[in-house]
Amino acid sequence: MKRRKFIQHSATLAALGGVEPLLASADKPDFPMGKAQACILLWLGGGPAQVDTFDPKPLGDPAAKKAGSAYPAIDTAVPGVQICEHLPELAKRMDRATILRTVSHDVIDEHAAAVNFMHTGRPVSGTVAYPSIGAVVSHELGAGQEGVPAYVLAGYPSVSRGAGFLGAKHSYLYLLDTEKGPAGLTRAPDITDERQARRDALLGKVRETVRETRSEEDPVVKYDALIDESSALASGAFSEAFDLKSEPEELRQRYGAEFGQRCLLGRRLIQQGVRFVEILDNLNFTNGTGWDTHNDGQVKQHELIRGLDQALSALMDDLEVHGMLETTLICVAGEFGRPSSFDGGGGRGHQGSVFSVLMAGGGLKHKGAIGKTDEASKVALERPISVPDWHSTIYHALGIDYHNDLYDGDRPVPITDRGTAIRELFV
Amino acid sequence: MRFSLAYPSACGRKIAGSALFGWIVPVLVVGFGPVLMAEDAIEQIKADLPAAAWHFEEAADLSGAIGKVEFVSGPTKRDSHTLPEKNQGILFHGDGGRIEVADRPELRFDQGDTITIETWARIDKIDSGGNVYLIGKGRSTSSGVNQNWALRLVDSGGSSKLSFLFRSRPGGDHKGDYHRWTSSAGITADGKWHHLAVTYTFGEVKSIKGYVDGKPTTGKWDMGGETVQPPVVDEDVVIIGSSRGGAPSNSFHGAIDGIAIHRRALPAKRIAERYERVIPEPMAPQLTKVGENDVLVEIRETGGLTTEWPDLDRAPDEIFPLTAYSLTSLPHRYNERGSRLDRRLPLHVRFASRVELPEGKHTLLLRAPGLSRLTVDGKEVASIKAFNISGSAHGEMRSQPAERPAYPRLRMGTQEVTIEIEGGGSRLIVAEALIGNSSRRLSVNEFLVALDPNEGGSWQLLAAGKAESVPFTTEAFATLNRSQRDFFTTLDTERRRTAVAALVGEISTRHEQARAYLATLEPVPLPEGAKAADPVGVINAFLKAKLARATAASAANSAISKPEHAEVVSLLESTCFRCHGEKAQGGLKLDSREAALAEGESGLAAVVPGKPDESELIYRLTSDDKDEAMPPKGHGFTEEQVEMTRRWIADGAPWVSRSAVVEVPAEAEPLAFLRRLYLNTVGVLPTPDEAHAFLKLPAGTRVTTTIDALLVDPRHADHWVSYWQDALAENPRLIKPVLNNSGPFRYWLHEALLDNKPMDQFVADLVTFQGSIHGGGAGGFSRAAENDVPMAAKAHIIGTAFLGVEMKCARCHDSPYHSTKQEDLFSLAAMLEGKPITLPPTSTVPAEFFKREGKSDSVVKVTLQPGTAVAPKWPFPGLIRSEATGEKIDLAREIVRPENERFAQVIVNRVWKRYFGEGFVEPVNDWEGNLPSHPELLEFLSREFVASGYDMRHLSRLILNSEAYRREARFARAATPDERFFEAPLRQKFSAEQLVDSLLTASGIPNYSEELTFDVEGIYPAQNFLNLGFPDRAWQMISTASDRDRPSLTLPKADSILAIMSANGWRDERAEPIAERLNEPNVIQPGMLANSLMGIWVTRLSDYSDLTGLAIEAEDPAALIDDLFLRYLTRLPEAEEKAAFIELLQPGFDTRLATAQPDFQKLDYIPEVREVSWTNHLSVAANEFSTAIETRAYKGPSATQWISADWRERMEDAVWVLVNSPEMGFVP
Repeated sequence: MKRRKFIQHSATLAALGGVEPLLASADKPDFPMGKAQACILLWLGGGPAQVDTFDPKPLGDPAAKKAGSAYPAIDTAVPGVQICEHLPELAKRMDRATILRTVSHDVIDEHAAAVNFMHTGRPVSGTVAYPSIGAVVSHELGAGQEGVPAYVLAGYPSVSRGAGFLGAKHSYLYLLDTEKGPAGLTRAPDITDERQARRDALLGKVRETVRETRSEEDPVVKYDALIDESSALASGAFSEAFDLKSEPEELRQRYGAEFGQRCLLGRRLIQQGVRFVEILDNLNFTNGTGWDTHNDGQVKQHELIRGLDQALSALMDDLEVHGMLETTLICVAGEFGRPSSFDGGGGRGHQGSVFSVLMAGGGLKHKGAIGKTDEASKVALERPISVPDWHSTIYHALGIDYHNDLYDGDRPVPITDRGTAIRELFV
Repeated sequence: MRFSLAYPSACGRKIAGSALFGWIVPVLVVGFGPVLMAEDAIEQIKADLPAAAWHFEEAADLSGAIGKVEFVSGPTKRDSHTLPEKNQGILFHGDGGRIEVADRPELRFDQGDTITIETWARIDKIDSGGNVYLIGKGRSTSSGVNQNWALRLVDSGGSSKLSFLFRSRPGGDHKGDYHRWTSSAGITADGKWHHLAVTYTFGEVKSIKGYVDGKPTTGKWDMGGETVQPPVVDEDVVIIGSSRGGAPSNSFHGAIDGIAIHRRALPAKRIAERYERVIPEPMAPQLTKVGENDVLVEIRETGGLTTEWPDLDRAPDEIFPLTAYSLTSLPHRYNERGSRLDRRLPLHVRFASRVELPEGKHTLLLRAPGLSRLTVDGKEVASIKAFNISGSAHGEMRSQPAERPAYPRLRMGTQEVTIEIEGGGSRLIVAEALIGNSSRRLSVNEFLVALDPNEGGSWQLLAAGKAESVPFTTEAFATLNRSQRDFFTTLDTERRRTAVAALVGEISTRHEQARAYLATLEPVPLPEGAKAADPVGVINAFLKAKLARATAASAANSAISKPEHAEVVSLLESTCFRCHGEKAQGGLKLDSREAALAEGESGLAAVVPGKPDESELIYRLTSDDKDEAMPPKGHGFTEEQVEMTRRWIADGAPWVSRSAVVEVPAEAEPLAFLRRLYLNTVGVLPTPDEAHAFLKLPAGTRVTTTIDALLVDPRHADHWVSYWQDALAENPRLIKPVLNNSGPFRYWLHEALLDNKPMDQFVADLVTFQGSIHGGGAGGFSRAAENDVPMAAKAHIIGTAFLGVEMKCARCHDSPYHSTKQEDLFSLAAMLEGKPITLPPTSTVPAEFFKREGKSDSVVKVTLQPGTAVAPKWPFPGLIRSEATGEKIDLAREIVRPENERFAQVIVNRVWKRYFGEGFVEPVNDWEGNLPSHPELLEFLSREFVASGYDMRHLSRLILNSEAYRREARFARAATPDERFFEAPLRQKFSAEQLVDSLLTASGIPNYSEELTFDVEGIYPAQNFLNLGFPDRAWQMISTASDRDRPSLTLPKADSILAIMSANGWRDERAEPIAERLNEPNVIQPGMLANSLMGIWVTRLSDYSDLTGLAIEAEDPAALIDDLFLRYLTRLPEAEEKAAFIELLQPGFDTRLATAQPDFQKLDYIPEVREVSWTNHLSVAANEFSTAIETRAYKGPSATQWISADWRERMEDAVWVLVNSPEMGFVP
C-alpha cells in the first residue's frame, strides 16, 4: 500500500524516474546472444568495390566504360552464393562466413566522414564524441587477461577509431610495424638488456625516494605503481605476441605479405586476451591507391583482392586449427562501396547507398550471404542492413547487450543508434 | 536606364586625342593592332547601331532597378584608351539586385537571327564554381526555363569564363534543353574592367564566337551540346545583373557598363577596337624608404591572374627591409581588431636594391614559387613561368640530381633558373614574383636570388649595397629563415598594435562604464580585517574564514558522529543532488537534513531518523522495480553502501560533512613552488639558471617579482592557448575539413593572449568571427564543417565557455537535466547567424523514437518541431534581462555587459581552477544546480576582474600571490562545494603540452617535428589543405591522421610527439568543447617516456642538445648531477640518490672527452627537405621514400662524436632515469 500511495502522490514521477535513454535501441531480440569472445576487424580502407569482391554482377568493361564487375564470378561452398574469381580460397570457406550485401549509409563524400560513421555508427552530432566499436568492446568486456590491452589497432592511428567520451583508457594501442609492436612498449633498438637493467636499477633509487617521502594518496605514488605495470606490458606475455618469428615459417608464408602478417599478429593478440583487433589494409604499395580504386587504381586491384583472399583464408584456417574460430568473430569492411560503373580513368568512384560487409566465424549461423542488391548494385532489393544493425550484430555475437547505455558524463547514450542484430545469424 | 537605336547626345563626351596620353607612357600594348586615335567608346558603340545599349550615365538609367543597384565609377581611359576619363557604371552586390527591361521585338532572337552581346564588367567576387548573369532574356522567375539568350560568367578554377546560354524550343520529338557554350579564356576578380563579347547566329552551331578583352577565344558547347533547334522566344523581360527572380546564386557581384545588344555579328576587328589597353608604367621601387644596405621588399595584393603581371602603377600595400634577396615566410595583415586577415591573391612581391657586384663573370640564381622575373638595371635577364602542378595525387617523385648542388636543395613547389652576368659596380637588381591565387593557398615557399661571384662556387644570397652577404648554405639559409620569422613576428606585433589603436579608446570608455556600474552595487561584505584595496588579503581572509567555520562545526558534531556518517552524506551529495538538490525532482530535496526528513509531494519522508525500514530512501535504493529504483541510471549503491546508509539512518541520520578534518599544508619549499609557478604560468620547467636566479632574489619579494615577470613572459601566452583550444573546440585539420572542423584560430588565440587582450574584447572578437577563416583569424571559429547547423555548435561552445550554461542536450531536444530548451540554443545560434534558423530534421529526436518506446512521459521532450524557424533572441533572462534580438555583436554585448555578472564569474572560476585544480563552481562549464564553494569570494574577485578592465594577468596575479597557492599540494578532490576549502592547490598531472614542452626545454632540444602539412608545395586552397608550419610549442601540434593509411603520408617525427601527447590527455580532435581533459594516469604514459622516439630525442646526447655541452663542460660528476636534478625535477638530489648517480657517472668521467679540447657547438636542427607532397604521394616511389625516412627517424638523432660512447651512454641513462622518475610528470 505504501508504494501505491507514493505513486499516487507523485505528480512528477517521470521526473523522479530520471532519464530515459535518449535514442533507444529497437525492441529487444528474441534470440540469444552469441558466445564469441573477441573480434578481428579487417579494414579495407578506401572502400572496396563490392561488385569486384563480394557481390559480383554481370561483367562490365573498364576500357569501354561498360558498368559491371571487372572479374568473372565463381561458385562457393554455399550453393547459390557467388563471389569474385580472385577470392578462390574464401569461396571454399564460404560456409563459415556470411556476406552482408545490403549494408548502406548516406555518407559518401569524404573518406574520413565515412570511416567515422562505420566505426561509431552515428552521424556527427558536434556535441558528443562517440566511441568506436573497439572502444565499446573494451569498455564492455575489458581485456581477457590481466596486463593486456583490450583494443589494439594495427595501422595508423585515427580519430574515428578512438574512444570518444569513453576516454583514453578505452582507446586503442596502435602499432605500425608488426614485429616491433606498439610505440612506447618496445624498447629502442640500441638499448641492450644490460643497459636497461642499469637504467632500471638507478630508476629504482629515485622511485624509492618517491615512495619513502610521499603519502600513499599522492598521485605521484600511484603513478609509480604504473611504471611496473607498463614494463610488465613491455616485457611480459603480451609483448611475446609480436614475436612472429616464433611461428612456423610455413604458416607465415601462408598468411602472405604485410597485411597477412598483421592478421597472424591478430590471432596471437587474441590469444593473449586482446578483445578487439583492427587491422588496416590500405597500404597503397600494391596498386597505388589501396582500395580507393579511382582511375588506374583499378588496374592492379585484383592483386589486392588476392592478398585479402590469402590473408583471410589463412586467418580462418589458423583460428580453426587453434579452436578459436567459433569464439573469434572476423569482420571485413571498408568505409563504403563503389558503383558498378567506371570513372573517366577506368576506376570506380564512391558509393554508400549499398555495399558489402563480410562476417566470419564467431559462432554465428553462417549463411554465405544475406541480402540482395539490384543489377547495378546500387540499391538493396531485399533485407536492407544499417550500419547500427551491423554493430548490433557484432555486440550481440560478443555477448554485449547493445541496449545498454554508455555515459558521456551523466548523459546516457545507447550503445547503438537504434540498431538490431541480424536475426538470421543467430537462429 | 537608356536604350535606343538612335543614340542620345547626353552621353557623348569627346576627348581631345592629344590629352589621352598625357599621363600614360605606353609600355606594352595589349589588344588588337597599334594604338589608334581614340574614338569615344559610346560613340563607337553608337556607330555600330545596336538594337539596344545601356551606358548608365543618368539617374533614370536605374528606373528598372529591383533591389540594390547603384552607380559606381565605370571603366575609364585607364582601362582602354577608347574610354573617357570619367565614366559611370552600375554596381551589383550578388544579392539579387538587378535591372529589368520590358520586352521589345528587337530584343527577341529567333532561328536564323544573329546576336552580339557585349559589355564591360568588373568582378568583385565570384564563388568557386559560381555562375552569374550579366544579362539575359527570359527566365525571370525561379522556375523559369524560357531562356532566349544570356551572357553569364562561370567560375572554373579561379577563372571566370564567358558562358552563352539559351534554351531550345520544344517541338516534335524535341523536349527542349539548355545549350551552353563556355569560353576557354576567362577573367578574374582582379579589380580591373574587362570587355566581353559573344556573337551567335541561332541554328548555326559553328557561328559562335567569344571575345575577352578584344581577343577572340575558343570555347565549346558543353551542357546540352550544340543544337540546330530554334531558341525559346517569348515576351519575357531582359534582366541585367541577375536572373531567376533574383536568385543570389545567379547574381553578379561586381560592376557593369556599356552593355549593348546588336542584331548582327559585330566583326572581330571592331570588337578588338573596344579594348585597347596601355599598361601603365610601373612605379619605380622607392629605394630611399629603406637603408642603403637593406633590400627593399614591396608587396601588392593584386587579385589578378597568376600567369600575367599586374599593373604596378600604384604604391605598394606594404614595404619592409630585408637583409638579403630571400623570402620564405611573410608578415601578416590585421584588421582593426587585431585579427589576421586573408590577403587578396596573388600577391606581387618585389625585391629591389642597388647591389655592389665585383668585376668579372657571375652566376645568378633565381628561385620562385610562381611567375617570376629578374631585371638588372632595368633589363630582364631571367624569368620563371607560372608553376603548373597537377592537383591529382599521381605525380612522380622528383628525380634526384646526380651531383648535389653547392647550395640548398630546391623546395618542392618552387622552380629555379640560373644565368650568367658580366661586370661589376653598383647595379639595380629587381626580382618579382606572383604568389598564390584564389585556388592556391598563400605560401611563399622560397623566393630568392643567389649569387656565385666570379663563378667561384661560393654561393651567397644576394644582399644590398655593402651589406655582408649570407652564404647560401643549408645551415646559413636555415638560420636566416628563422631570424626572418622572428623579424616578422615582431613586425606582426607592431602591426597588430597599430591596427587596434583606434579601438583602445572604445575599450577604455566601456571599462569606465563598467566601473561606474560596479560603483552602484552594494559592496561585497568582507571578512573581518580584510580590505578591498588589498585583494590578495581578501582572498586569504575568505579562505581562512571558511576553514575556521568548518573547524568550529567539526568540533560541534564530532561528539555524535562517526566518520562513515560523513561518507554517507557525501555519497548522497554526489549521487542524488543532481536531481534532488536545487531542482527538487518529484518534489524531493535531499540536500539538507531538514529536506530529507520532510514529507515531499509523496507524503513520504525519504529519511525517518532511527528507522531505516520506514525510510523511502532505503526502499528506493534497493528496489528491483525499474520504475522505482534509484538512482534511475548507472550503477546504483553497492550493498555495502546501502548498509552504511541504513546504519546512518539508524544512528539518527546526522548531517555531518567530511569537512571536519581539514589540515592546512605547510608552505611549499622554494624550488617546489618555483616548479609549480613555472608550469602554471609559462607551461615549462624552470632551467637550472632560472632556478639559481630565483634563489638569489631576496626571499621577501622574490615570489611576487617572479610572478610579475612570468605573467608578462611571452611563454605565458603559449601556456594558455591549449586551454582555450579545448574550451572553444579549436579543431582544424590538415586536409579537407570533416566532422566539426574549424579554422585554425589558434593563432588568433595566441596573439590575443600575447597582447593580453581584455577578456571582454576577446569574447567580442571571437563571437563576431573577426578576420580570416583559414588563415588564423578569429573567423576560424565560425566554421563547423559537416554540421547541419554550425551556429548551434558555436552557440553550445559559447554557452559553456563564457556563461556556464551547458546545452549539449538541447542540440536535439530540451535538456532533461537542465532548464534549457532546444529553442534557447537555437535562438542563440540565430543571433550568431544574424537571422532566423530553421530547425533541420537532423537536429531532433524522431517521433518514431517515442512511438517505439511506447512512452508518452519520457523525460526527453521535443518542443521544437523540425521546420520551425527560430528567431535571434537572447535566451537567458535568468542571467540578464535583455531585449537583444539582433546579430553577433548584440550577442557579444550581452555576454560581456557588467550587469551579466555570470560572465566575469565564469572567467574567474576558470582561472581559479586552472591554478588550484578545482573551481569554486564545478564543473566550470555547467553552473545550473551547482553552488559555488565561496560565493562571496567569487563575487569579490569577479568585480575586481571587471574593475581591472577584464585583465587576465591581473586576475592571475591576485590568485598566484595568495597564501594558499604557496602551500604544498593536496591530493583529493572535494566531493561537494561544502568540502572545498582551497587550503592548497590540488596535485596536478602535467598536461600533454606541459610534458612535451618541459622535456624539450629541460634537454635544450628543438621541437623536431616535420612541417605540419601534407601540401608541402602549397598548391591547394587553404580550405582543403593547411600548413601549420614547424611547431615550436606543443599547442601548435595537430593530428596527422589522413584516414588514408598510406605510408607516403606519414610524418613519423610529429607522430612520435603526438603519441606521447595522446597518451597524456591531448585530444587529436576537438569536435566539442570540454571543461577538463580526461588525464588519468594510464599504463601507456610510463612506456612512452621510457621507450618512444621522443624519449630517445630527449635523452640522447646529440649535437642538437644542451645536455652535450653540459656534459663536456662539467667540472665534476657531483655538479653535473645537481644540474640534472634541477633541470628535470627542480630539486637537488637526496644523498642516496646522489651517491647512486655518482657511481654511474664517476667511472671514466675524466677521460670522457673524445679529444682533449672539443670544439663543440650546438647545432641548429635542420629538417630534411620533403620530397613527398600530396601531389605525388600515390606513387610507389613515394611510399618507399617515406618508409626509408621513417626507418631513419626511429633511430633518433646521431649521438655526438665529442664524448666517448661508453660514458655518453651512462650519462644518457642518468637522464633517462630522471625523465622516467614518477615525479617528472607532476606539478608539485
